[in-house]
Amino acid sequence: MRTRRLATISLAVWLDAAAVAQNAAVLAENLQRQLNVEDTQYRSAFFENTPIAERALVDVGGTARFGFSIIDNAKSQEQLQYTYDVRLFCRAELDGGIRFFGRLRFLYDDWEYTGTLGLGPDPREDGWQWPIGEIYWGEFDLAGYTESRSGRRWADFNLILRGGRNYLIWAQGLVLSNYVYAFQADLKLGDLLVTGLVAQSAGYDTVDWDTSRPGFDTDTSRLFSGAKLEWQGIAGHRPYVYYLWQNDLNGGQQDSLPQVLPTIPTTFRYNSGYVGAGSSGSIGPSMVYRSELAWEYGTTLSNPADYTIPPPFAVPQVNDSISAGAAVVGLTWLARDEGDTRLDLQAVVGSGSKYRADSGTTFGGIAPGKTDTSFNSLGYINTGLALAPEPANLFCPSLGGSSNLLPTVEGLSELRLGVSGYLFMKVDNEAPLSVYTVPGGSNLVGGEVDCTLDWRFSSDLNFNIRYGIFLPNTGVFPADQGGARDFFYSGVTYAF
Amino acid sequence: MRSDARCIATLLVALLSMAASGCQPYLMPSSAVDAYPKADQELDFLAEVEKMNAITNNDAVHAFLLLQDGADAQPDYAARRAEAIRRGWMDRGASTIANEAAHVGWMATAGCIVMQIKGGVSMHLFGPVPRYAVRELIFMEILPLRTENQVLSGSEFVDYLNRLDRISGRGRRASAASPLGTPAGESAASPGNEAAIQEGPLPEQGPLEVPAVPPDSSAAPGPVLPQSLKPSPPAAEPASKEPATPSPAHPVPKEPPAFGGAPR
Repeated sequence: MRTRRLATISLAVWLDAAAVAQNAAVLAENLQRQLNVEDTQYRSAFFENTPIAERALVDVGGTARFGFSIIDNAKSQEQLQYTYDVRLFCRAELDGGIRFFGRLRFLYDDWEYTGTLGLGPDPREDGWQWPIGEIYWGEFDLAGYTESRSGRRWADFNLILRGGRNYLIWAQGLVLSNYVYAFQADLKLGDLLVTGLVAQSAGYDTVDWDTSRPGFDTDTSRLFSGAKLEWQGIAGHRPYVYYLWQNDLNGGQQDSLPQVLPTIPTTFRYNSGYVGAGSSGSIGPSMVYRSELAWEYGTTLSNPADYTIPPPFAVPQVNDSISAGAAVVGLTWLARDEGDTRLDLQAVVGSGSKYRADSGTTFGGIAPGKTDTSFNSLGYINTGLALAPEPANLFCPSLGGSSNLLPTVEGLSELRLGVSGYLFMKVDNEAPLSVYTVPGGSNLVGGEVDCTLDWRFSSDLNFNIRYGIFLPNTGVFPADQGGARDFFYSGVTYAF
Repeated sequence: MRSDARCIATLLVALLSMAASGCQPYLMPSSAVDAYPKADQELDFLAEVEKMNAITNNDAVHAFLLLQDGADAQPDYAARRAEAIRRGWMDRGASTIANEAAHVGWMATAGCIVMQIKGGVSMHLFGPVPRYAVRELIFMEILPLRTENQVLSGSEFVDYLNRLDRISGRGRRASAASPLGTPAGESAASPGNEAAIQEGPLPEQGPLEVPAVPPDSSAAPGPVLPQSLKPSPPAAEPASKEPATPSPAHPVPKEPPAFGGAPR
């Protein structure tokens, strides 16, 4: 055991350097995904509650945002990010059944490394971010279209077709929550809703779990296909089951790693399927819940490096089978008071593998001949701002609350404060997380407290602060990574 | 990237075609003010309006004159339109058709002017132009989710007037308990409004509140109700549709409000 741990640490020198280098950018990306999820949830609710206009409707508008972030990397070194973000949208509807939504994104990131150049984000994170065409999709609603023609709406049957580029959240987002080019069909048969999906991850807007693969953050092509069955016949509950197959279109890609001698030829391929079940709904008038349980299976190419005796040397890669699982459950209590107070309790858990040096990479990945039990997906579950680990090998309970504290005070009625606490634990103390830790020792990784302030000055001007501090259990981190890590973001948005 | 641009260009052309094909005015057979033109017939006027599938230009101007002055001395729509233009409620290009369904845009402008609503940055810069007046009133939860070129049903219009009146009451009679105490904000956003979407006070989970609209008036006689005129679905019912919403919808008045009693 001791030999393996030492060898793992020697291999991890490369992984460590890569992790630190990416850390600030990954955390900035994490915040963006948090915003994307909120944005998607909002738009989804908006369109669900807004029937398609029967007569022609064209609505255009936009927003301008300036954001400033101070983000600590794994070594608690501060990096600054200035974000200039303009988005222009267009919504068009016709005949009660045809809808289009498109949004252009003009996003410029300016990173200041404050003496950490070389450990800072990838230079490509600096400057204009692509693509400009962020979202564009069209939808055809058969029941709405028919109603506009005949005046009668079908109660028990509908077919909705939607295609284009969008941010997609599949179920609760455990398996897929990402920008995709997708075609989706929703078939409603009585109380049964069948959703079919074919989607490909959008390269420039995807950060792959395999960060050792070249182009992991600019060229990730994973093709998803599957279906979900949702039963709407139980009052207050929406149980569902799904199957989703992920085909690695980057499979067969090769590289020599690490980037220092001696290098080892590495081939990448990770094909996986996800079988999931869950439910969302309400328990009484003041409780809403969400849950999802997913099992992952498939095959992945094994680690090309043998590191039992440093330095690592090349070994043939084999197809290892995958058998992993993850779950998320959440409960929100709505006070239904003037301040719209709410408390949210959530737990995320995912399996990991002690035969990996990193939870997601191929180089440093699963040892040949072992079953890969580390859960990997393009999903997103909120695990805070400052550490933001993926579900692999993680148990993360969290408790948060938010409220408008002064709902009747003019000027402050739209001031909302929130606090959340997270506890991070390893399921297997020998297995890695998506953030770098040393194997063994305590299962406790640390805790985090996040605070948010949202202040809407007026109908078109919004000010926002998010601050998170991660307090590590220093024993599970390398000596130079045991400090507290801060994440600070402030932004102002003008909608026009 | 080039394919993105091509897709967007194609879709924009399709949108313009859609817009060009759908700009015919929506006409109602008559206006309620034709039957109840006098100030002392206000309750009958509002009761009649509430049955209509769409509020007309003629009725809307009449209602705003009652709201502001407590009386409407204008004999017909041409005179009312001229008065509305003089007060800045309508622009000079406003429709001359009395029974055409009134656009939300100018009615929002009129509401902001009558109630002296200052609005946000855009309204301070450009004044209560229809686009920003609509957004402001949606933000204040006075209007349901609409764009400036859409219309209101009669019952939605009565609810709109009622909410304007309550805003007035809150402002001028500060000691009175205000029924508009529910948190505002979420429904102000259109789908691209990141001020509400990306960074606003959003719930962590679950759908947002349904825009407040009065009960369905589709049983009333009149032309077939376009979907855009129909009230949105009722506030989410946690037991049957969606998880509980974060804030309750506004109560809907059962009786038409009497709002034009005294000059303001």
